[in-house]
Amino acid sequence: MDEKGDKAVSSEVEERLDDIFGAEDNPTASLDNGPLSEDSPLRNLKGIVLSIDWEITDEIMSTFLGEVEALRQQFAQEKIPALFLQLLGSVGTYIRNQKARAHPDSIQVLNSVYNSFEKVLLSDPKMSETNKRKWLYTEVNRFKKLKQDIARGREEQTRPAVDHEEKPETAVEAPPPTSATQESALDFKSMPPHEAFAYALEELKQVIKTEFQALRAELRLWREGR
Amino acid sequence: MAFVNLKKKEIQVKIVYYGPGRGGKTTNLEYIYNRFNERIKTEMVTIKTHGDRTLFFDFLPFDIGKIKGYDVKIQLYTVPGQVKYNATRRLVLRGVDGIVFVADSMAVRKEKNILSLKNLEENLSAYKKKLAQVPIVMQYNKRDLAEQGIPLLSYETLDQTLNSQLKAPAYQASALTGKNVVTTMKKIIALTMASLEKQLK
Repeated sequence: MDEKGDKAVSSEVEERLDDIFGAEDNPTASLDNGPLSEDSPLRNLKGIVLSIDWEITDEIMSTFLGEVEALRQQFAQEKIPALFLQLLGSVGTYIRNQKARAHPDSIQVLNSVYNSFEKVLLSDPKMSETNKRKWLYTEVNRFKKLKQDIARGREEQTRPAVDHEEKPETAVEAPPPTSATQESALDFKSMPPHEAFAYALEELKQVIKTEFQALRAELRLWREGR
Repeated sequence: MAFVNLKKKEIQVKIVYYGPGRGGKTTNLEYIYNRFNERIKTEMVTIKTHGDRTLFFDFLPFDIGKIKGYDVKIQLYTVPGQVKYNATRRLVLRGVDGIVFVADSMAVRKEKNILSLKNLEENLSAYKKKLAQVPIVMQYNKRDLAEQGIPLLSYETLDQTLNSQLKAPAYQASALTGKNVVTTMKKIIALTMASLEKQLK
């Protein structure tokens, strides 16, 4: 790049970026269900649902199930909220038990059930009973489909393996390896292909490095011996 | 160091969005792509796993035209945030020119942000780079969740926790709504270009 005109480059870059992306950010979307008030009964539950990560921990899931149970008692007399909470409890228990082996759609179902529950419970003006039931049935159907998919997955697992499907990730919260030695001791078969490739690449680099070191040492010895 | 083709007068600049899992790195790139794809005329490459998590990386290349006679091509990458994919993260960091650290503002994610920043430092050291020497912008994401009543870390806490030594430019953002997504990107490109210019002298 030209050595002259430091400021010219910066301003040229900024101008170019402004041309392409505009001078400021214009937010376009907003979150679906809107804010929760301080005294909303779902305040805690929403926080927990949002914090459920793929790296699911017993602690988060137990907090989630505890909150669902507390709400079930609170809404024991209201049929539709009670059924929503039952759905949340069932999916939550399944995820807690299966963790990373849980069906890939289970977290999406959990989020969807929660979102619909929030809509039904906190809609303003109040939602009609018919509409509430519609939301509930949609989620019940989603839940049923998940159950079917899980059952189908189990059936496939019991059959002799003929294909090369990705195996479930085993150590959900395993700390990252700290050295090449530890990495090489890992079971590549339990990793997704790209991660195994990255590890293999690193291992290959280590091997080449070691080989070169050995060659250099041999050359040194040869020179000294002459 | 950026890839510079003197013959073709072309510079490729690699910017990596780094941060804890589910922090919003992919959402940043998706926002940019969805909003500007007609202008940047490019395709975003993304490989997702179950539950919409980034498996390998996301990749969004675009040209910003000629700067001082050189065609400047920007390449935005994200890394997979999940702890177990560290080798992939390290691989994506190879040849990085600039970094956006996307921190999760949720109070429950404080520790994960710190661990991710440490992990970034460790992975950079594999390439003999120090965090303080690489252009970096901090983005405190998910600020929109405050409206939902979700407990968030304050800007001051985040800055104190993650940025007290680096003192990098920092923005409060919402990748979901687009707030400060473009500002963050423009800042990191400008910083990176300025840094590259110094290196090329």
